[in-house]
Amino acid sequence: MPENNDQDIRIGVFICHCGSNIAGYLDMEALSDYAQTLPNVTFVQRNLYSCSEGGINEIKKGIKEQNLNRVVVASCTPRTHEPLFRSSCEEAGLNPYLFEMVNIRDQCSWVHMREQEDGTAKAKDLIRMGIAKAALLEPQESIMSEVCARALVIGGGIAGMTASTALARRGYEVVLVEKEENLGGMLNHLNKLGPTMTDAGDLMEEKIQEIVQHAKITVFTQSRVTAVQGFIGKFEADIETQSGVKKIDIGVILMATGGRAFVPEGLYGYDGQRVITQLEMEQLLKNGLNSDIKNVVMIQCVGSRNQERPYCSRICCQIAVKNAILIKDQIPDATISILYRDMQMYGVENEEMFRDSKAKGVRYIHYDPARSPQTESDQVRVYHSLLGREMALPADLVVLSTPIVAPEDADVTSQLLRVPVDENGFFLEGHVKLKPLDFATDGVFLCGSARFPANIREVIAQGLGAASRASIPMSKGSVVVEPIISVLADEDACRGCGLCVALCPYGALEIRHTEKGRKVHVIDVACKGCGVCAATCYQHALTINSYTDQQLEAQIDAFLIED
Amino acid sequence: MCTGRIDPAMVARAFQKRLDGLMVVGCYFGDCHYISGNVQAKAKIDTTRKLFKHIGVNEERLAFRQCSSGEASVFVKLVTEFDEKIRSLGPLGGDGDRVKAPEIFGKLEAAEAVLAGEKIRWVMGKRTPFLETGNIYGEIFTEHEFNRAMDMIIVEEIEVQEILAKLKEGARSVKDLAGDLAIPSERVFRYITALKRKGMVALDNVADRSPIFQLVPQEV
Amino acid sequence: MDDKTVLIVGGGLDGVRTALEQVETGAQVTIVEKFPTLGAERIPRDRLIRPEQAFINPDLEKVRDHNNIRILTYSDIKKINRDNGKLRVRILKHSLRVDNSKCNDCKACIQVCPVNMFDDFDEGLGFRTAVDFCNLATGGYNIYKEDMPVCQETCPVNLDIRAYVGLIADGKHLESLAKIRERLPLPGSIGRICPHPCETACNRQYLDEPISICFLKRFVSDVELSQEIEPVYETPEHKYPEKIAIVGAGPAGLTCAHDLARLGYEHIKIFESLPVPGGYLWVGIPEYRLPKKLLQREVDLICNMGVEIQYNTRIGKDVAFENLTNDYDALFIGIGCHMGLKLRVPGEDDYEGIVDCVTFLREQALGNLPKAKGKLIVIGGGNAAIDSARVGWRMGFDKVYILYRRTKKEMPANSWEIDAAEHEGVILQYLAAPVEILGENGKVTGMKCIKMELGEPDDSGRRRPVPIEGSEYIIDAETIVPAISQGTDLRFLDEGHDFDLSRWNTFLIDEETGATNIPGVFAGGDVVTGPDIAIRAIAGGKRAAVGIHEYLRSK
Ligand SMILES: Cc1cc2nc3c(=O)[nH]c(=O)nc-3n(C[C@H](O)[C@H](O)[C@H](O)COP(=O)(O)OP(=O)(O)OC[C@H]3O[C@@H](n4cnc5c(N)ncnc54)[C@H](O)[C@@H]3O)c2cc1C
Ligand SMILES: Cc1cc2nc3c(=O)[nH]c(=O)nc-3n(C[C@H](O)[C@H](O)[C@H](O)COP(=O)(O)OP(=O)(O)OC[C@H]3O[C@@H](n4cnc5c(N)ncnc54)[C@H](O)[C@@H]3O)c2cc1C
Ligand code: SF4
Ligand code: SF4
Repeated sequence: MPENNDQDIRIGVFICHCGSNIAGYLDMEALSDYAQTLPNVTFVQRNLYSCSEGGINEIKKGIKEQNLNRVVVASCTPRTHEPLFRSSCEEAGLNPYLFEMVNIRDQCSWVHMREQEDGTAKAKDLIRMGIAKAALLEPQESIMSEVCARALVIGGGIAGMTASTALARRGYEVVLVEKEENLGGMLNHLNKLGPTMTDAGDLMEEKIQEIVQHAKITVFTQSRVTAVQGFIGKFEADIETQSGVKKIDIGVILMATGGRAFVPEGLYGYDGQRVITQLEMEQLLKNGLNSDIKNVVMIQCVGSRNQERPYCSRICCQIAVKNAILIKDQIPDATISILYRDMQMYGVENEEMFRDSKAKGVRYIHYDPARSPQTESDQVRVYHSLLGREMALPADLVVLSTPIVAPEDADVTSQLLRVPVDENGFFLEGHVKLKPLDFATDGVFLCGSARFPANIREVIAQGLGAASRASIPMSKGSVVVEPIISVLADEDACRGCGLCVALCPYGALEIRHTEKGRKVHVIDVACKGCGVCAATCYQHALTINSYTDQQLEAQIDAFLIED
Repeated sequence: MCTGRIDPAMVARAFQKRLDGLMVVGCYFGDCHYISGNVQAKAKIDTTRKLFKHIGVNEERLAFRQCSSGEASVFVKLVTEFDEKIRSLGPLGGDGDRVKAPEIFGKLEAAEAVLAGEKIRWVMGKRTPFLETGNIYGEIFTEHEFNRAMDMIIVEEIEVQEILAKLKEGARSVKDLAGDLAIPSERVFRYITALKRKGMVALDNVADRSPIFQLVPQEV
Repeated sequence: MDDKTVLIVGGGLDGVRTALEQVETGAQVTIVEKFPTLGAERIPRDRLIRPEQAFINPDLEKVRDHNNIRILTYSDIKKINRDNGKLRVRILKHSLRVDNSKCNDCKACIQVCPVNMFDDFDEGLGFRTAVDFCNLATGGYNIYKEDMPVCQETCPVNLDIRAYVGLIADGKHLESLAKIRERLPLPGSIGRICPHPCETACNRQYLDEPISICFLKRFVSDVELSQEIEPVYETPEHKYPEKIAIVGAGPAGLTCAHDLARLGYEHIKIFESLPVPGGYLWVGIPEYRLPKKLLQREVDLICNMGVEIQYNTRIGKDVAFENLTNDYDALFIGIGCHMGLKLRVPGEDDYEGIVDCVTFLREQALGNLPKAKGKLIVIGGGNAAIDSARVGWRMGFDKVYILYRRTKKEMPANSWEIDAAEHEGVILQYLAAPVEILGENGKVTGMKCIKMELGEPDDSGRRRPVPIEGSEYIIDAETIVPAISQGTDLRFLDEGHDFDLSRWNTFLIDEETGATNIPGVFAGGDVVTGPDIAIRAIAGGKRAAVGIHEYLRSK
């Protein structure tokens, strides 16, 4: 490999103007002159935009014509541009990991807009550091790993069922695990679904039929996933079923464990009889209402948007409005008052349903949480914050709108799959905007109320979305992993003590018995290259590709050179 | 790469090479892009700070802070404050530090050896397992206990490194070492016996009824 | 002499040589050595790195390889009994904690071990790390692990005090409570009333004062209360079918039930003669020291595990003892000491108005006593006496006296309790003893007392009080409560029962298992120890639970 010949390191430095983003504030000529003077640098060029087609061509040309074996680009952020420059190097025949990027824009030219001299000095430091590291870079090969074309779906609510059928229709095998006796989740307990007033039972039955009949879907009810090992493409799950524990190989995992309706024990005189929840209301409506009921009061935000549960569960307002309409349908002369803090009725159809309810005579009364309503034996007293006085509303039935909360065992599931939950116990996606249905852990996806309270329509959309995300690695059949990972650089030094194994956040390390005794083994595809292990090993046996001790020390030394 | 990659030995090495301040900024706990790398980073920086304090380097020179990638203003505040702090401390080994230059660089050399050494890395690495899952007997350590053990180890390790550094200059008796390093002689004796067992020092000769110890060269 | 067996204590050079001599005579030889290696032949410290150079005594190898010599290293002699002209020796062999067959002698462990300690092998002159190396021929690597800190060792149930106190220091209050509950199901109650022998042992007292080990239990359980957390005592999924009866719902019985439920027993029934649980915790210790509501909550937690308590059922009266032995697979007796002892002075049985402290406190706790009038004399110097006096004071007696034979210094009651009683207005008369109960019309009117002085120390080491002749005096009183210790009430047993009892009428049990001499019947608490403290009763309940489990599982 000529490019790794230490005797002849030829570094090309490309300094980008980024239009005027960099050139407007730093002394570019001083930078390129300075770069010329640094060790191993054989070629320096400035570009208006290194990432433009022209800029890229210059880099490729430089590599070929100047016979460069390391490339440093001093420009913007590696977060967006590193992959681009890497692939440019590769296209020009240079191993993409012999590339180093220096950011002289975000925390340099942008920050020091008014201090050209200092800013330029800082850019020099940064470039010098990058070059020092680049000299020690080594070529790396990408890592490929096969993906098993079977998905595990945890939770058989509408989210899990939707995702399962979507995956099965694409031809992937699906294992659906549900802890209860029946599929359907929350739908089992619902009456009609707003805003379309579809029958919940019908929707559920339709889905269940498709699932049961689909040859590619295996359903385990009254079952639980008790252990998950492995990594994207090669997970192994233990499923505790009615007929014993089954071990199943899978490639991807979808989490659809939903939520449960909060039970307002001790709030507003809740007794399940006269003071009930919306969930219990659904059942009453299903059975047909007792026609004695003339006065109904609903109270919103019960147990939510308070200190303990600061979030808004989003869908309880829709549910209340829906049920108010359905009560009116059964008992047209019933008086219904909804006591609310804010009405959360997003979406065109919901707005329409809201207007519809008002037209049917449902009353809306705003209350202030500081003076929350009082339920008494036959009435509800509330301080009407718009009228500025207290009112007594007769009530045969009080319905409390309670939030959806995370399942009790969310923390167990979270540990099982090594995925995070937020402070309310809902699962946390990889990135709010960039990865809304993926977890940070590769190969694990998320949909439905497990992520946050959502209505059926959103849940179905998420189920389809997660299925689509999950099928990407399965359809490719393999995953490529960046080789910037941990390596056992000094096998003899490793004592196989397992100190590092216990700390790896991804379970990417294991102890194996080798001819040389117990040694650590890095599971390439699982490792994310965080570097915890390398910073921990007391034998200095492990290191991280492209972030070795030597490379980092060279960078630090370059920074601390006294000039 | 995560803040968890930061090797404390590298930190001591940088200060030894005239770094005046280092701020490590990681994600919030529970929010770490690498799940728990920041927890390890914090633990390592905390230990290094303790060590710094012990050897007379102002531990304010080393900081672990947290902010998220969306919090530009927090980041600016952190950097500005830290910058002001380091400016007020002045160059390493000056008025801001208990031990002055050039002596401080010798201390930092010992600190690097400690942080690259087996014992402290081992104990740092065991922190999470000890606090969370317990030792092999299932005994969970409290943070309190752990820190107490760690404080002790820091003192021991740095003193051992100082003794080794002194012996590198030439063979010495326990009494001489105690005088040179201002460490109580019973502690020096204790370290010497431990080092003797590990084969790192050996008896050189007995002068005037005082045993003189010398360094045993180690194969690498 | 073919069946001669010889035990040699000490495996030093002499021990090794003697072993070889004895084995020559045809004896079976066992060597017991407290260190992990024989022959005082630990490799000299400074040669540790190159053990192959170490001098090895050739005798050692002979001993090691001899068929008729058994070597027990790292072992302690626990007990020696004479048995039919032979000696039976109980030996505890410690674990080396290192699997030397897998060790490849790399010494990495010694390099990283953070624990430096004095080495008792050379009488503390040198140092070792917790993991250490001995002569490979007869020892190898071993880890010294401290058994228990003094506090934990002193605690009758060996609570992991260091952990739970440390967790509090870390601010992890609920974790601390969980830690306590691993061994103690009544933390809130014990945290209020335990005389805390652990604090007496605490090393911190040599610096300033002991850690408040006891009240910290109360603290964490109060934290739980204040956060309105309803804990659940878990029981395992797998269940055992055997039926177990427990007599007495005192701390011993409750704990035994709790531990058994936690092992997976589903059919546990406690028979209790009173209408309330807790034994003396309810009917002895007054409300102001231990609120009943709190005790009830902790009892409920145990009942929620599936333990049933049948109240108002006195064994021997409402249910015959044989019924229990017939109907149940195992039986635990934890009936405490509920018989007040008599003063043995004239007039004691002649007048109304003299109640022993057991009855007095019980009836008061059950709400059966009317509001009190007149003067009250309590006789005795223990906690029961102080409790009776303080309870009496609260009931409305005009004047309350405590009469004690010795001085305040000798009083067995907790000093803070004595101070509190004095502070409240109870009159303590030291160095005084009852001589005769006086009365009129069948009712007590007062008591004749005599002054005492302290003479020579007796068996208990306390100076024996002797009456001062001619120093008699009279105290007027309408009520007299003797609180001079309690005895067991074993009337539920048949005349011809086969139980081994002590001369104090307490059950004699196996120290390891709590088993009485009758198979399947176990006992613990005050009924074994005589009047003692609650935490020791709990320890008795725990021990019996393990004993019952082993008994049932090996049946
Ligand atoms: C009272 C009420 C009325 C509603 N009305 C409407 C409406 O009118 N219109 C509308 O659009 N939406 C409505 N919703 C919302 C709707 O019910 C939810 O959006 C939807 O059911 C969420 O589906 P899901 O699959 O995400 O979760 P769920 O339906 O909660 O299903 C999750 C499933 O996962 C299972 N599970 C959980 N943990 C595990 C585990 N560890 N292992 C295996 N299985 C597990 C559960 O048993 C359950 O079957 C209402 C909700 C409530 C509470
Ligand atoms: C006044 C007083 C104050 C005390 N203060 C303290 C203190 O502050 N701290 C401390 O640690 N200890 C104190 N003790 C001691 C402590 O209460 C006892 O050591 C402890 O309660 C003994 O527990 P036990 O389970 O062995 O018996 P007990 O608590 O006596 O319980 C035995 C139970 O068995 C029942 N019973 C008896 N016979 C039968 C039968 N035949 N059939 C059915 N049920 C039966 C009894 O009614 C009773 O409920 C005090 C004791 C007294 C008397
Ligand atoms: S790499 Fe280091 S920490 Fe990991 S097992 Fe090997 S010696 Fe132990
Ligand atoms: S670099 Fe991070 S993810 Fe990779 S093996 Fe080491 S600790 Fe695990």
